Amino acid sequence: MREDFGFEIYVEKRVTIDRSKGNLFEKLSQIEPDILNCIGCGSCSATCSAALFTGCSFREAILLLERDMENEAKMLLSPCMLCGKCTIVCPRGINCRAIIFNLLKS
Amino acid sequence: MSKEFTYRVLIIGGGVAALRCASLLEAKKIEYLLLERESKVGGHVAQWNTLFPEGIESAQLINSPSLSINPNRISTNKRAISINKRDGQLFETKTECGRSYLSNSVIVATGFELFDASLKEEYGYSLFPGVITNANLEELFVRPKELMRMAGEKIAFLHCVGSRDSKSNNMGCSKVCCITAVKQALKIKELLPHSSIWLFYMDLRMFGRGYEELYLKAQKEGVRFVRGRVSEVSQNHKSELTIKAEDTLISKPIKLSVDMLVLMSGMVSDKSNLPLLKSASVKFGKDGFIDSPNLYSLPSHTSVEGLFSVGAVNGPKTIPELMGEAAAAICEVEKFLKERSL
Repeated sequence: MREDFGFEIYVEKRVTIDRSKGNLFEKLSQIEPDILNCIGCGSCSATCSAALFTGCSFREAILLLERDMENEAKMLLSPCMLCGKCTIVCPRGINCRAIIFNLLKS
Repeated sequence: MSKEFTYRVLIIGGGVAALRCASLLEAKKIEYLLLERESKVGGHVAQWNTLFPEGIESAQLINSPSLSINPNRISTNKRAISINKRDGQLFETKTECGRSYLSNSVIVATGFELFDASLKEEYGYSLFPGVITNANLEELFVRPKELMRMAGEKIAFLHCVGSRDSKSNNMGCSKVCCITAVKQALKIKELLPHSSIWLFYMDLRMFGRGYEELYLKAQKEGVRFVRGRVSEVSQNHKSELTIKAEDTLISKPIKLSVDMLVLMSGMVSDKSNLPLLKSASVKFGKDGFIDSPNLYSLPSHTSVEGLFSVGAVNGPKTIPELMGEAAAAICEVEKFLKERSL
């Protein structure tokens, strides 16, 4: 039974970065080292068909992964249809589709 | 009245811009004297370890033939304090030690100073031993053992310290710090391959040739770039520094503990030289850098005829830029002297 005390406690939204070795970002960067080259330009999200109707954003997902927020990253990319347009537009030549595929598979 | 010796050109300053001007004047056999306020020439560049983007040693540049001049033409420990026009023609430059020099023209190449990072109290420079500036880091590169002990495993760089900041009364971008931070991060990565390095930036202004390539190299080596300006730094009982910032690309506040924090202090005008510029009635901007009457066609000219400015005294500059500027300025000086048959 949940008591109602008339107030609620907010969960801390601050992210503590202490890059832990062996996290998902680390693993993905071993499969696809290009993930390190992202400059956060947003071309991938701008061209994304899924992003028109959902919050799908590859750019943001990369950063969330880097900050150890794996579930959020997976949630964000769950509407992805693996069409690969992001890979075509990326100015840094990141194989976005392969990274999403590996991420969703993991 | 004894006839006083008149130099055709007097160069004030002894940094790389001044040395380049001097070597060009020497090649053209134009009589000059170089006044340097310190005990030796080389300026800020002599304090750097390596130079971006190619990573050559700064000593290699200073000792290169294009900057070597006759040592007899250098007068050290002479701080110029005023420039006045005598009889509306000759320039008379006075030094702190009471000497005075006459010349037909003057090149002001007094350079810049680094922003005093301790003014940004929230970053803890001069409060916490782990917080250093880019200039301190260049000195540490010469003593790698000390650097390795100090750097630990986690290092952060903070861009735009005192630049693009109204609170610091400096709206300008110092432009060279972005690439300097990337260069320094790579250098640390070379010394400490297992270290984690973060760079906190507002924008990365990789404007020069080869800079973007160096940025990509840093990314590939695992240097991480976080978009957001650090708001404050604190230190705990274990001497660990805690940095607070926002990762603006995911709109989330972040916290990071590091062993060493490098503040990228920007180039600002050298306030100690403002009285010198004022005495000569040279026009300078609110930022303290010398203004040109026509920035586009006469960048080295100043509001005073016969007085030229070269190098970072008229704005932040890279070394290749000021080398080109020095050569152009010498052409203008020669033209000025020839037109007046001086």
